[in-house]
Amino acid sequence: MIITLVRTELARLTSSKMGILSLVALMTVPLVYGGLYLWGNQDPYSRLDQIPAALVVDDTGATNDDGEAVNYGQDAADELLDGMDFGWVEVSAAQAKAGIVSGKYDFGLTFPKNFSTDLVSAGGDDPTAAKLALTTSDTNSYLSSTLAERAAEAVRVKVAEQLGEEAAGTLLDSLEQVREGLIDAADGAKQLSDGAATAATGASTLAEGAASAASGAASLSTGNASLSSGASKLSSGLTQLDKSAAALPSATATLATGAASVASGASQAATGEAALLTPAAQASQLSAAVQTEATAAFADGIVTPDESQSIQTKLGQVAALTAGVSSGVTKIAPGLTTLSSGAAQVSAGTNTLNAQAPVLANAVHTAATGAATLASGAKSAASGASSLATGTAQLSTGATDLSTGVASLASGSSELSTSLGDAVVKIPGSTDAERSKAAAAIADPVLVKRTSLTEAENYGAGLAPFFITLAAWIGMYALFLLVRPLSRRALTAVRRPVRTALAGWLTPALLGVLQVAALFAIVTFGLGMDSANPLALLGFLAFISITFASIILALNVWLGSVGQFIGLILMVVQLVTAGGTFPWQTLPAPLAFIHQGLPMSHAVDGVRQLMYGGSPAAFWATVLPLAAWLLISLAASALGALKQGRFRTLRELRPSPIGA
Amino acid sequence: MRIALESAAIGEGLGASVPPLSITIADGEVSVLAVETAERPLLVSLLLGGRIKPDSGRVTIDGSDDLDELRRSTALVDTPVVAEPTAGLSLASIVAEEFSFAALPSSRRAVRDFLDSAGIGEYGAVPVRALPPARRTRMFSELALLRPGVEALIVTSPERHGGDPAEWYENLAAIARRGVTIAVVTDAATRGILLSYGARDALLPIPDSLEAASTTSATEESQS
Repeated sequence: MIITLVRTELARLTSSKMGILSLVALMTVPLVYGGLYLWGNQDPYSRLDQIPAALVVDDTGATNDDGEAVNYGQDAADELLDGMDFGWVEVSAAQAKAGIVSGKYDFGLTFPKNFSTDLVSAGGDDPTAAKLALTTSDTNSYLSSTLAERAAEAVRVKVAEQLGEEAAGTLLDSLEQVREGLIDAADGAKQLSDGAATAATGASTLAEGAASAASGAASLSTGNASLSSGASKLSSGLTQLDKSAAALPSATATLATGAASVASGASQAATGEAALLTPAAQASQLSAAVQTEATAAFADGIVTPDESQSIQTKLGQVAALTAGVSSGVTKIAPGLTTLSSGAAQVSAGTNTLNAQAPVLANAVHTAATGAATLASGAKSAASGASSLATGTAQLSTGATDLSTGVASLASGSSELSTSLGDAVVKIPGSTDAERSKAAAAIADPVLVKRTSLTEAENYGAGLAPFFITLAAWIGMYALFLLVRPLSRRALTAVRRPVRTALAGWLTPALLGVLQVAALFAIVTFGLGMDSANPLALLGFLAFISITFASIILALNVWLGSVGQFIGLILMVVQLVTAGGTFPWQTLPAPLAFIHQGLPMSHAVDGVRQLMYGGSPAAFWATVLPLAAWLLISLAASALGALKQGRFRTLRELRPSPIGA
Repeated sequence: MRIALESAAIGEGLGASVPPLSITIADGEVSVLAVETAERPLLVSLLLGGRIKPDSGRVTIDGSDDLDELRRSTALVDTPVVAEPTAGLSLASIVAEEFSFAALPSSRRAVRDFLDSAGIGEYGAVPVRALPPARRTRMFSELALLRPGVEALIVTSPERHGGDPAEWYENLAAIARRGVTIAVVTDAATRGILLSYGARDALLPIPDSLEAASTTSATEESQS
């Protein structure tokens, strides 16, 4: 049934000459649209030299730092005229202005009077930016203005690069000199640092020595003070001694005399003592005789008892005294003997002493005199030592300060040396050749290295995915102006909504595939745009076309001619949102949101992938949403066929005001 | 099988597309009904075929509201807009299409055989508009009956193709005699003619006693 329905529909479309003509005309709409557009825009950039552009050189030139006369404006203009990237014509400022207004020239580029002067000033103390005047008029063409901006920018970059290189060269030469100076400085600093380190060590040693000296001097001062006080005591003692010793000889003489007297006295005493003994013995005998008489007298009774007693006592006392004297004498006797001999010795000794005493006195006097001298000397020494101690203490303090200072000096000079060394490293050493290379790099520091994963061969090929897809939609839309979405006879006759819907889809789908195949042929063979994967592209284009067919079919089934009109609206919306020219990310948010959903966006992406040789994954990612559109639209059409197969509505039956 | 409209209407008031209409289509007969305006033949045919919902009133088949059943057992014949073939298409392609509706093989041979057996083989390659009206009505009626389950035909405005009503009516009457229920939706003039040929007036209620189809020979009446 499907095939029959398709055949019938195709037969209906071609049942008259007019019908055939209409079909052919509508089939060629997308071919003409896509083909013509892509042909016209195939490679406009290769024909930029057809764009008339005015070139004005008012530059009066200047003298550069080397004293050479330069005219950068004229140089750049000559280069532009040689380059032929636009249709440059060198004219006067007035001619240029008139020409741009009249449209004779699309735009104009002017090198003003001070162009070279300003450029040269960049090397001086008061640099002013050089100006390049671009005159455009969008009435000539908006895009030509854009292109003109690009041209002016290219000139600006070129001139800036050339001059930047010169300036950078000068700068680098100066820098090299700075570097050499820094190297010298670094060397000097290194020496300074080494010397300072040695000095620091010395100063530290000195400080230590000075500290020792100070403590020694302090000890010495203390010792000297003790010495001084000792010597002064010694001197005063000796002075007293001297005074005493002066009387010594006379004293010794007296002593000697005394001692001689003693000796003779002692010897006389010894003699007297011996004489004592005899009376003592006689006294004792007398006492004893008295007693006997006393006793006899008593016994005779001459004397009373009391008188006898008293006599007895007194006699006892006499006896005792006598005994005492006797024993005393006895005891004294050896002493006296010793005394006598000692006194004799003393007398002899004192005689000797007496003989020596003057000598001693003389010696003591001499000593006293010396001690006085010593004391005064020691005092001087002590005051000197005290001064020395004070001085060495100051010395030690000073030496410590010196050591600290020199240490700071050493670390500072070491830092200086290191910093200078680092600075030298930071300024790259260079030969003349290296410097000129570096200057070039500074003048043009960023080179865009373009890695094209995929590449469209030209502007036209860049637009092709968008316009082919758009043409496929337009073609499908146009087809539905002729093709009946669903066979009314089939809907009325039988209840086979799926088959009816599929038949209604297959007819335009087949025609659409024909359309895109023809378009593909035109683009590939007619315009010579090669694609990376031509067979897959052809298949994908067919897929796009049948998807679009299903979408517009569903719209027509459900909404009739209103749906067809919505197909037109959708085309306009997708024209905006598909991202065929500018990247879709530049769209305002709502449109960007719509972009994600609408089929043409994915179709354009898919064609790009196949045309420029993108990744299979990216390609299949575009197929999925399209397949979803296809299946959902077919399901919707089948549902619509089911609904219409049951009951018709007046709206479906009556001719629509749109496209009736 | 009886089909009835009971005050069935589309729209309302003076501007109604179909003002309330009560008719009956009797089993195994050619029932005729006249409608006015250009659009009503289509709309009334659709009502009778259960293919459009009445805004008010009822459409019944054998007393039931089962419009699915009504759709299955009826076929619209040559109804403008919904069933008439594209005038410029060849007869053969239309027949092939009808065969495919009937789920029959629609090969060229099958089509040719059918056309030959119907005696219109020579019309196969010419546009269907060139087919004489009587043959056209008969052919489409026969083709519709090929569809499984179709027991009733609703023939819409056969008079629009011109020709002698007697001719095409006779063809329809012959088909009705085979037990097929036929409704002819036409204009007032044609209705009068068909009634004179013995067609049943659809405006008349069906008497309950009427069990079998009328056996009155329309042919005899037409020849009188």
